[in-house]
Amino acid sequence: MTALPQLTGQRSSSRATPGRASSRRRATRRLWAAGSVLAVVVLAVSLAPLLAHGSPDAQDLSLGAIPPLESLAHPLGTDQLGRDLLARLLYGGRSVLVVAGLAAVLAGVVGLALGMLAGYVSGAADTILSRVTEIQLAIPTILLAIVVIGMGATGVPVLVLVLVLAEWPLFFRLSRGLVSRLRTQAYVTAAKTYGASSARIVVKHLGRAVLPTAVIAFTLTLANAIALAASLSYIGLGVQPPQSDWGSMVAQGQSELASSWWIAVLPGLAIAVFVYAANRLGDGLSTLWSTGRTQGDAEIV
Amino acid sequence: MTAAATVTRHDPEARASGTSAAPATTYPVRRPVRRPHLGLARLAARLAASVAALWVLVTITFLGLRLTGNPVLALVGPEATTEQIDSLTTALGYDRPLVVQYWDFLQGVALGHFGTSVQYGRPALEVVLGRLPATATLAVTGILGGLLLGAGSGWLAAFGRRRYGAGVPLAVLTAIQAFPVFFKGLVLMLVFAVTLRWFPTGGFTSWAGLVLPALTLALATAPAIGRVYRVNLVQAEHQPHVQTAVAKGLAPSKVRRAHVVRNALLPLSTIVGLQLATLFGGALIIEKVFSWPGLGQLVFNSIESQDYPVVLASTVVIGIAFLVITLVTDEVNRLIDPRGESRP
Amino acid sequence: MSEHATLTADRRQADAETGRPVDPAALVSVRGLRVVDPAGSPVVDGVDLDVRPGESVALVGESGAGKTLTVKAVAGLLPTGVTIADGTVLFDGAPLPDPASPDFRTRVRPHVGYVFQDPMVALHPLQTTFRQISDAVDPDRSLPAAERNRRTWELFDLVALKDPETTARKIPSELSGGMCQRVVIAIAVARRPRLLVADEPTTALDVTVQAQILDLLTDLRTRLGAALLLVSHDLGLVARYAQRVNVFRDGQIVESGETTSILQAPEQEYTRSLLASTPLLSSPRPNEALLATFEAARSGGPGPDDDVVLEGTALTKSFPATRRGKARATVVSDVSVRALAGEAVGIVGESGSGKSTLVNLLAGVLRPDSGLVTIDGTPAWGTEGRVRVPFGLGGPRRALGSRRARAQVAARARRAAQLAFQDAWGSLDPFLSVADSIAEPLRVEGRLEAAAREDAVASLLAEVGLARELGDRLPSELSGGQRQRAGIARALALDPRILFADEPVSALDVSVQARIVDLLARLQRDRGTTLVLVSHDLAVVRLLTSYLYVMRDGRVVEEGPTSQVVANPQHPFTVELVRSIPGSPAAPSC
Repeated sequence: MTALPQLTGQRSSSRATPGRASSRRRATRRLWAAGSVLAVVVLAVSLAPLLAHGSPDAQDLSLGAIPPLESLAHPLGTDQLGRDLLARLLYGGRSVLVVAGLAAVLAGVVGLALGMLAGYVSGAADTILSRVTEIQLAIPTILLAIVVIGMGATGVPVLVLVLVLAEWPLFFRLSRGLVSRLRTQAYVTAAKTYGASSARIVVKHLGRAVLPTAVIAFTLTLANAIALAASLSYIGLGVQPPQSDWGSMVAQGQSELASSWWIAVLPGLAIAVFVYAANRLGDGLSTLWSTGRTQGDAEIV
Repeated sequence: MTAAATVTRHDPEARASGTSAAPATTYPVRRPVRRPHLGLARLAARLAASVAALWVLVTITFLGLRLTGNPVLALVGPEATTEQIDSLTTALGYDRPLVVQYWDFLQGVALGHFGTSVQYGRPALEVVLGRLPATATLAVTGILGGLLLGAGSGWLAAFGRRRYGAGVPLAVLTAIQAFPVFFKGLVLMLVFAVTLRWFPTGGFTSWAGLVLPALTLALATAPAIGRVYRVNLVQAEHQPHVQTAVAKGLAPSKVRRAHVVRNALLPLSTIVGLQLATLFGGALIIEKVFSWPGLGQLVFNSIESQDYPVVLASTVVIGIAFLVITLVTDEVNRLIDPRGESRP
Repeated sequence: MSEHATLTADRRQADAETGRPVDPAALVSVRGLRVVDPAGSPVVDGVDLDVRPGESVALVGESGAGKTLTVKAVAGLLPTGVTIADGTVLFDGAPLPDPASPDFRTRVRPHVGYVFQDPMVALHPLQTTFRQISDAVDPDRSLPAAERNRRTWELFDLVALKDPETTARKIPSELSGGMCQRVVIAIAVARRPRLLVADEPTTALDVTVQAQILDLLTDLRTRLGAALLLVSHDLGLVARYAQRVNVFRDGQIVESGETTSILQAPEQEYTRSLLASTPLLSSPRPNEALLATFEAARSGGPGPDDDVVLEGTALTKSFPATRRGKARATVVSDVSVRALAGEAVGIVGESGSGKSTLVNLLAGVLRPDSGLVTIDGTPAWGTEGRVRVPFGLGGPRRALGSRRARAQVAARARRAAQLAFQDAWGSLDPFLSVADSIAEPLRVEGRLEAAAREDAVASLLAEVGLARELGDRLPSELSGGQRQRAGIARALALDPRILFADEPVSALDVSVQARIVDLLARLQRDRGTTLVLVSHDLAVVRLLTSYLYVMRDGRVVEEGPTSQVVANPQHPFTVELVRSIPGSPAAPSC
């Protein structure tokens, strides 16, 4: 017998405590599940030499394209050049994860540092940095990649650079927003009155507040970075041959789609699984650590 | 304001003091209309920022070109002698100081002179503009599809009955968001073009060829749209002004329409605007997947064949298109919510 | 069965169920109302209430006592998940239908007008004022447009909205708080309701506007012949505007009756303590003897023997415009303030009067555009003549030598003055335990070792009346009153000469307020700290201070020893402030 016409089937998340508790339990389970998946993938990829029999580049044209689960020596099948797919997935994963992981970490460090600076100091530094971010956001990432890589500068360092450029604005905006909101809080003013230095305030008080958001942003950025790295490899702007990662494996498999679909699909699934797990991890952390305010989904898209 | 049909306003003081109502002022019968505020200064600032962004892009391109070695090397074959390279370098002006080259470059870009395409032998700009309609068609169809799918599934998830699985479409969309856009396209191709043979695997030979690429783009942009819309619909319902609307005695459908949905529109249009970046990037990649004869395919092929004039022209055209569309979207947002609190 | 017979049968049934006779003349009759939250626990637990036509009834009590939910249950506006579990509500003799039903919408809503607490959020953010009011006049669009518009314009006059033609086109974000509240009232009375419900209608407004709004409500009530259900925590308001009052506690009514008799001779213990906690004009002051001494010292005006610990002279501060087109806002304008050692000085004003900025200037948090602040006679911050005195320096820069020496002097000056803030949420770092927050100033100072620091923190906790275990908790685990004490403890950590308290009790319930007031009085007595108290609540400031500065629009409009100012206010604004204190001879009965 509710009073207000029940317009939605949803309850506001900031209401009843029982609802909050059960959603926290679900979030914790989701967290563990996603975390385990990620851990497994990272572990597998790191142990590639142990798990894969032989080299990922060993061609054997006589084998042709074997479907998965048919041969014990090649549990995931082979591609059209006879290369073992399991090995290729594991080694290819290394490429992708290292590039994306490195980029995410760098983007995080740079973005957070600059964001906190801009948020705390305000004034000219803030204006300049915000303008720079705006200008960069006005250029779609793909264009940036085309311009930087397409013009001839290929290779892993450039790839990482492009990824960092693509991902740092998120960290910047989040930390800047948080810090400039907190800067005016009474406890910061109090700290100034008892003589705390700016450095102390930023590190001890504000840093602690930024940390949860930063971790969540990191997991989501990792997911984005992997997807982006794979996309760039797919169109040929990522890792260059003879190196190959999941993205370029999909490109190589596309020509055989009608006959040997697994060559393209398996690496794609690998990407999807990792990205999905990373996203869920981020969502779970976000629910668990939320202070009751709903961080708009559009913020971390 | 028609002067004919006016209504007399009764002066409350006159009424209280008991004197006969001497008609003080008259009010119009029609209700007042609010005029939207244009803000030309702000618009000018936006334009300036856009031009700045474009300039940065162009400059990076220039630097990228010049810093990766002598561009002449791309134009000649591997057997060219040093003298030939040198003479060509001088002839094309690549030995002049960088700043001079840069100035010439900027002039060229501003006038649309990007050079001649190595592949096609026609002015690069002409080649690029020729491919624009195909990409535009794909992009527009894609975002419209995304909006439909996203807003639809978001609405269902917010207002539909849980029991009948109203939250399912949005959940599915969110799940497949993890698949990178090129992979989504590939899977769709595999299922619907290769296996079921309902649609062609690529090319723009018929309108049927548009379906799969556009659907892929729609699936790429829909999840974020749907999530934001749902969250805002649910949140809007708990705003205090909805209580006021109910207290007024408004019918539930009117409360939902005018109070709940109306206030969720701004975040919706903002997220659609934010998805433009996804859309552009996605469109270019999808063109490679489906061999769609648009700008994306042109750019990537040109990169491979080192047709730098075309790459340059494409970059500038895509950049301008993106900036213009972002500007328009932001202005539309401003119309929807004049308060200026546009960040969701 | 005829309708009349049905109604009588309902009344008799309600009668039989609850045992308390239903007043046949009552407009609203509530018996045994139980409202539960989504978890199932009762938030309103067995409430009986009667409202006769044209009568004004107040519901008072502390926050969370169930007053708002009771009236929302009557008005059919309970939030999602909160439901009526038991009891009867009769409106005009008939039981209330289900609020979600069309029956409720057509039969009940036209007769109930709800005035919401926070007008800025109660209005649709994007619709024009005109549209919002005309939607209230004719929600189903059943009237011809001309008639609807006429009635809408009438309402603009009825609630005295200035400049109707322009206001009609505006959206709420372009209106002031008072104007928004008038719009909310216009919406409430749009269909000439028989019952007006006002839920803390003036809490979000300034004192002067409060009076206007309530006078408007009373005026409308008389004109419409409507009954008024007033929910408030402010006993002063209730004394002026309600004929009958019901005192709420933990979801139940503990006492009800005529306002005058309840306020003068309360029967129940709870009511008595509630009244005791509410500062009246005649309430005894905790440190009366001490305050009287200071008042005598100040009565003669500033003298050469005065032991002045804090002096601000001709302080001015303006802020750059936040929006284009608006001029620089001068927030504090040529204000001079003095405090004697050990004295308690009060600064009273509305929000926007500049009082918080003034405190920030005096405490050295903000730098004044012009003017000087001296502590114990030494210039601390500001400008002396044309020479800039940098933060914490005494005298022109050249005279002081090394940077290190300057820094030390600056630090010492800074620590002489400490602040305690209004709201607890912002004043303590949410990630640090209370003990850590209190210890922070000591850590920064670096004078004490860890063990000595712990002892200092323990003694501070004891001094402000917090149990030792609370020190290990996070601020979010403490109540509002406890957080406020913790904030004060931190401010006292460095044993400052001057303690500035900015709205220390505004966010607290009346009973908790009283205890914080006692704490501040005790601190002043025992430590001899000079206290500078800033608040919009004159009643509270009167209890603690011996000298008063009244601020309005950035200037001091009146000042003097507290008792004198309160007994004999000169400036019209001060008069209004004094009027709003309950127990004041200037307060009219309704």
